[in-house]
Amino acid sequence: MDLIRKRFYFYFLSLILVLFGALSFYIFNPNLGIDLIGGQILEVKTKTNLEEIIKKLNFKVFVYPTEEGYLIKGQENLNLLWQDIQKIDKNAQRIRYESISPSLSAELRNKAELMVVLVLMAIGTYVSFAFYKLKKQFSLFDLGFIVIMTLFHDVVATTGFYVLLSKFFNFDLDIKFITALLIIAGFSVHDTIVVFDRLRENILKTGKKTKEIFNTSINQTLRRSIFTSLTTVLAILPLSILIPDLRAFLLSIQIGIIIGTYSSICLAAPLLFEEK
Amino acid sequence: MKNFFLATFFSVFVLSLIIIFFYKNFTLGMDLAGGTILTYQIDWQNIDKTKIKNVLEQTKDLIERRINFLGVSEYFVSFSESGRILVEIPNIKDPEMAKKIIGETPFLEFRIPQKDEFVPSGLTGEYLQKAEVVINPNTLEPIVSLEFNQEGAKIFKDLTQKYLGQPIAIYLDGKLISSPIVRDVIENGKAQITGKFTLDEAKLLANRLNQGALPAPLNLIAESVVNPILSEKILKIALYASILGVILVILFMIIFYGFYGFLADIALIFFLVFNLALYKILGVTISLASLSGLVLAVGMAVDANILIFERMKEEKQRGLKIKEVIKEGFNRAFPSIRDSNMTTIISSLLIYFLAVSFVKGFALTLLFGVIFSFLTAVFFTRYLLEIMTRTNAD
Repeated sequence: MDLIRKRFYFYFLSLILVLFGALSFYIFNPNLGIDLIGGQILEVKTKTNLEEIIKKLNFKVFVYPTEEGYLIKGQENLNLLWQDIQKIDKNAQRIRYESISPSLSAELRNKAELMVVLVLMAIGTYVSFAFYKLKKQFSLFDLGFIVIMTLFHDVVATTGFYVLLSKFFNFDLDIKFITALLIIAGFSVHDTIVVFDRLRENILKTGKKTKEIFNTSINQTLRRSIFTSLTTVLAILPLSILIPDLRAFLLSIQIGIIIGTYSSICLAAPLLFEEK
Repeated sequence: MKNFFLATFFSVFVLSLIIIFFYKNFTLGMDLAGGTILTYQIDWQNIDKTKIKNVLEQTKDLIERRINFLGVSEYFVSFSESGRILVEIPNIKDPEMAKKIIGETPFLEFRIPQKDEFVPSGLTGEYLQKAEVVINPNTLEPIVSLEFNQEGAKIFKDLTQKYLGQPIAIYLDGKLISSPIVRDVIENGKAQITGKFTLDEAKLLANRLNQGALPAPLNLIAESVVNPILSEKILKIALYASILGVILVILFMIIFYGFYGFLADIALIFFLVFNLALYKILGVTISLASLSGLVLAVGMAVDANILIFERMKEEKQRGLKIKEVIKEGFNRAFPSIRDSNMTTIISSLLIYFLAVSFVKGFALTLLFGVIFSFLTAVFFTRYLLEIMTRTNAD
C-alpha cells in the first residue's frame, strides 16, 4: 500500500477530526460529571410516572428514563425527592444514590489537573529517552513535534467522538474520562514509537530515506499495530456493551486506541516523511 | 536451567490456584457488593489550632462508637490528618439511618408554653448526665428516662415550679415528642420521655443522647449508596463479560497465530490465575473498576506476543533456523514491548497515586497486569516455545 502518496487525504481527515473535537464542546455542550462540579445522582427503579412529582419540585433536576425507571441528576435535595417517590410508590427501589459537595469536587478537580500535568510530563520524558537512539536519522525536534502533534490529535479527536456519543447515551465528562485520555496518550505514544523504530532499522539497513523505505516500514508494522490494538479493544468489548456503568469509560478507551493506531500509521510516519 | 524456570512457573501456578480456591474470599467493592460510603470533613473553622489533635481523637472515638451501635458486622473507617473521614458499610439496610447515627447528634430540648405555642426554655441535652431505657410497668411501653446534671436539675426544678399544672413539651431535633402536664415540682433532676417508642427506637435514642455532641461540626461532603439487591445481578454479568473478553482474545491468538497463539494463551491463563491469587493475598478489591483494569491488561498482555510472533515470521522469511528465529524474534521485539509497557506503567502508577475511588482501583489492577504480563508473555512464552520446538526437532 502506498500510504505516503495518499497522505494528504489523511491530513485532511485528521484536520476534520481535530476541528470537530475542538468544536464539539460548543456544538453539543456536554454535561460535566458530578465529580468535577459537584451534584447528585439518583437512580430509581419504579413503574410510576414521576413527571407529576418532578413538576412540583422547587429545585431543578434533569430526568432521564432508564430501562427500569429513572436516572435523575441535580445539584441538591435529591434525597428529599427520593422520600417523595417512596410515598407514591411503595415498591420503588433506590438503585444508586451519589452526592458530591462542591468543596470536594473542587479538590478532585485540582487533583485531576495535577494528574494530567504529571502523566504528560512523565510520558514526555520517557519518549525523549526512547527517541534518543533515533537522533542520527532524524532531528530530535521534529520527532518531538510529531509525537506531540499526534498525541494532541488522538486526545482531541477522541474527545470529539465522546462528546458526540454523550448526546445519545447521556455520558458525562468526568474524571474517568480524563483517566481514559491519559491511558490513550500512553498508547498513542507507544504505537508511534513502534513505527519510528522500524523506520530507523530500515534506514540503517539501506542507508536511504526514500518514499519506498517509508512505505515499506509502515506496511511492515501495519499488521502488528492493528492487531495489538484489536486485541485490546476485543478484551474490553463485552464489558463495555454489557455493563452500563462502564460503557462511557471503556468506550472512550476503545475509540482512543483505534484513533491512536490510525494516527501512528497514517499521520506520524507521513509527517516524518515531510520533515526529512 | 530451563527446567528450573518451568518448574518455578508450574509451582506458582498450582499455588495460585490453591490460593484462589481455598484462601479466604475475594473482597468485593461497593459497586458489586452494594453498600454505603459516607465521606465526612471536620469543619475546622471555629477550632483552636492547638486543639486539632484532640478534636481529631475525640471525633475518631465517637464515630467508632456510633458505628458500633449500628450493629453492622462489617465496616471500614479511615481518618486522615486533614479531618477527612471515610466510612464504608457494606450491605446496610437503611443508609439514611446510618447517616443520622454517625453524623448527627440529637438535639433534645424542653420547651415551655407561651400563649398558644411552646418556646425554648433553655433546658437542653447539654445538661444531660445520663439517659436510659426503662419499661413502664403498667403499660409495658419503653420509656427513655433522663437524668440531668446539677445545673440542669436546678433549671428543671425552677421550670416545674413555674409551670406547675401546665404542659412542658419535649422536642427532639425540633420535633414535638410529648408534652406532659407538670403535676409536681421535680427536685431530683429526673424526667421521662414517653413517645410511643418501640424498644429499638428507645434504645437508639438513649444511646445517642448519652454519646453527646461531636467536638466539631462534621460535614457530609460525599455520599454513595448502591443497592445490594441489584448489584448481585451486575456482579454476575460483569464476571461473564470479563471471561468473554478473555475468550475473545484467546480465540484471536489461536486463529491468527495457530500453535504459537495457543502457547501464548497458556501463558495468558497463567497470568490471569497469578493475578487473581495476588488480589486475594494483597486484598485488592474486586470492583467494576478493577475488573476493567485486569481485562484491559489481558488485551495488552498478548500485544507482546503479537510483536514477538510477527517478528519471528520476518526472521523465518530470512531463512533462519527455528532456534535462531525464536531468539531473534524475542530479542528484536523486546525494545518495543518494553516501551509500550513502560508508558502504561508510568501512567497507571501516577494515576494510582493521584486519583481517587474508581480510577484508583482501575489503575492498580492495570499496573499489576502490565508488570506481570511482561514476565509471562515474554519469558514464560519463550520457555514454552523453546521446549516445544526442541521436542519437535527430536
